[in-house]
Amino acid sequence: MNGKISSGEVMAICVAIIFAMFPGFANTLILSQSQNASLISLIIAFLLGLIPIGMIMYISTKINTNFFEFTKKNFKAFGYILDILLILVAIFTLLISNWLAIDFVISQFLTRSSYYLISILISVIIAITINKGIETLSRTIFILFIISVPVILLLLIPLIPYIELDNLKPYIDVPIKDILKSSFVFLTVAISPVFYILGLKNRTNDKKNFPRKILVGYIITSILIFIILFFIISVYGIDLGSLLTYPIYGLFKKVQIFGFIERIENFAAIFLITAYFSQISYFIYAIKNNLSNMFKIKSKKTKQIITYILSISIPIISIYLFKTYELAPSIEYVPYVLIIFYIILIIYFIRSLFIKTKTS
Amino acid sequence: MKKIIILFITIFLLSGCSYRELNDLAIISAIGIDYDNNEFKLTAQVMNVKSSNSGIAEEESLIYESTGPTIAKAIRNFSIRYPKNAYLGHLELIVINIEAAEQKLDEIFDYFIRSPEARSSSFVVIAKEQKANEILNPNNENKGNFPIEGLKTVLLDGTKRNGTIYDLTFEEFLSFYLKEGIDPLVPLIKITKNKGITASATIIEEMAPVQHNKVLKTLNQKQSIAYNTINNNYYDIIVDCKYQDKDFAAIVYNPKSEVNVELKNNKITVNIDINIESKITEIDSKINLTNKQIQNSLKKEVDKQLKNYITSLIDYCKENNSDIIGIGNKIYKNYFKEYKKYKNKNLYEIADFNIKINNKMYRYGNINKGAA
Repeated sequence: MNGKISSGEVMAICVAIIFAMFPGFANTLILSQSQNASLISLIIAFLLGLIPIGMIMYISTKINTNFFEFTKKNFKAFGYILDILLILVAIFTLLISNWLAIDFVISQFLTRSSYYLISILISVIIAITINKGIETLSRTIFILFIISVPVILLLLIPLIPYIELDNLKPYIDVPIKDILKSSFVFLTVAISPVFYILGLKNRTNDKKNFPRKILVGYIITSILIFIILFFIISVYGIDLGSLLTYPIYGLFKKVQIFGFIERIENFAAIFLITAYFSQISYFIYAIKNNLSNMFKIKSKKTKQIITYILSISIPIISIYLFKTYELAPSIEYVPYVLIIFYIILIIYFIRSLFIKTKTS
Repeated sequence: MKKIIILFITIFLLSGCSYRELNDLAIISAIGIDYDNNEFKLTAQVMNVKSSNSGIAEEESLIYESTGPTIAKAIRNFSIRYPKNAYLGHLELIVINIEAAEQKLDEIFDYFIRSPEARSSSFVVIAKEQKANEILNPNNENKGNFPIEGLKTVLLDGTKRNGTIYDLTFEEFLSFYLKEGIDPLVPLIKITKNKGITASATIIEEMAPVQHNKVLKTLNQKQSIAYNTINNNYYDIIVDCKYQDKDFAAIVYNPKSEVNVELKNNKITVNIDINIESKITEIDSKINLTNKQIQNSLKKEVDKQLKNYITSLIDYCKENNSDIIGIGNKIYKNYFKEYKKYKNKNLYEIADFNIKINNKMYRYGNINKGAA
């Protein structure tokens, strides 16, 4: 292996890490805030989101080394503060997505199991994958992406007879501020993970197309989310769709093929679980990398230990915090916390404007 | 080596997650919900498959009963009296007694939609004349063959081939219940005892709307057919008509109906457009069915009959102030800003109805005149 990843794998990682926060969290928030206008709010958010995505793409054109070196070179001592902030935002995102993943698995499948036990089991798998290297991680995510996205789209086909376009009306049934509030959810939850893709720039074998792959990943995920929300609203109606915690999972319970193939919602669950797995794995990889560069850790064994510690401790802390402090209702404030990401993005973007790109 | 050890440990740890022996599960296929004296009484029909001496599997049902202040507690209480854990993963029918429906419908919805086990595709019926316990356990023997499969067929056939009921699933019931400006229509189940015959029969042949947690007056058969025609709920049904004082029956196929509501200058106009195909299936008259004039006359009689059915349904809605057709819902969707003015009003008293039936009658069966 030459330690390089392809641009297709970059795109797959981009799709997975954007999508992971939607089932059980962002989807529910968007549906309950903007009701029937969810699709409109998604379109507004997608268009507005092109601005920060464009900024991330621009920053990526200036990166020729690893992301830590890039930060150190361009921000000097302040770069350490930015690194720490990025690690903290990543840990915050991980605490949320770990809880979402484990809560989904336990509430739908393993109702009598211990949260901690399941999280440790998942963590071990994640740690082993990360320790194999970014090539293994990215290839795993890419293969899971190739399998799960077509499966999801195919499983939506039997739901077409259940679509009632009338359920989409009235198209705007909430004040404009609620539409903008739910656009804000998309802008923070979907865009903030994309920034961490910049860490892959120097690991890809197709640097020229790297910015384009970020854009393609963003567009694919937005289309996927749009299609899913469209089906939720047109099949269930907004009243029932916004009531459910996992409407996409509930939607697939309705699927019946040839009159006798049913209960295939668990195939759809594979898609949700792979999205969670991909985001958690990638973020832990990014944190491990950052810490290794920050503390100049070169030993492979030490890096592996750091991976295991992060993989196991973050889910345990997440479960502890959510259970002890009953944080589930506060999850709607997560988009406001993720505003920090935009501050970091603007700082990087402004600095990037002053970096001269070497032309060969 | 390390990976093998981790794998080994994982296998042992995972095998205990949510594992339950099949023999420990009471697989509930139908559940009856009664509410009396501030507590729920649940009656569950549990599948019990056992091998007989001949080695053939025999299927019978056991009846479990329990009570509790909430449904969740009542379901847990099954295990106090019976040695198995209730499992709702194969639930096919929910029978709700009218008192439970009128007093505790929100709680019933909440439990079943919140539970990850219960299937939201279970059918729902309301027991208006008897308790749900009497429906599921008519002989009070705690054992028997409650015809769950038969009832499912009745529900499906009654909808698709008779048009007199609607095979309402739990999820649809909740969806209609939550929607603005429309009252859900629920099939009614009852046990009848035919005179002179000791055997009782469980039948589902009527429907009634649920409005503000009240089960209203039952629809008659014609009103039910009108409802199913407007909502395109059947494949083909028989409509009985008269031509020159002689009876004839027509099969009405493939309804493709649309209800459009126009709101102009505070005037509501409801356009009900019904597109159907029909064919003569039986006629008590020696007439030549290839005669164009006669064809048109027969077609007009079918149209007239359907129009009567729909008018009867509209009159029902007017009388009972029940929005079964969903005019309020149409106004909500298409005239959202004006909806507040019309909410909770009896729209059927103030709306003008235009019923247009477009009927294509082009088949007559194997003979082209009456066999009489």
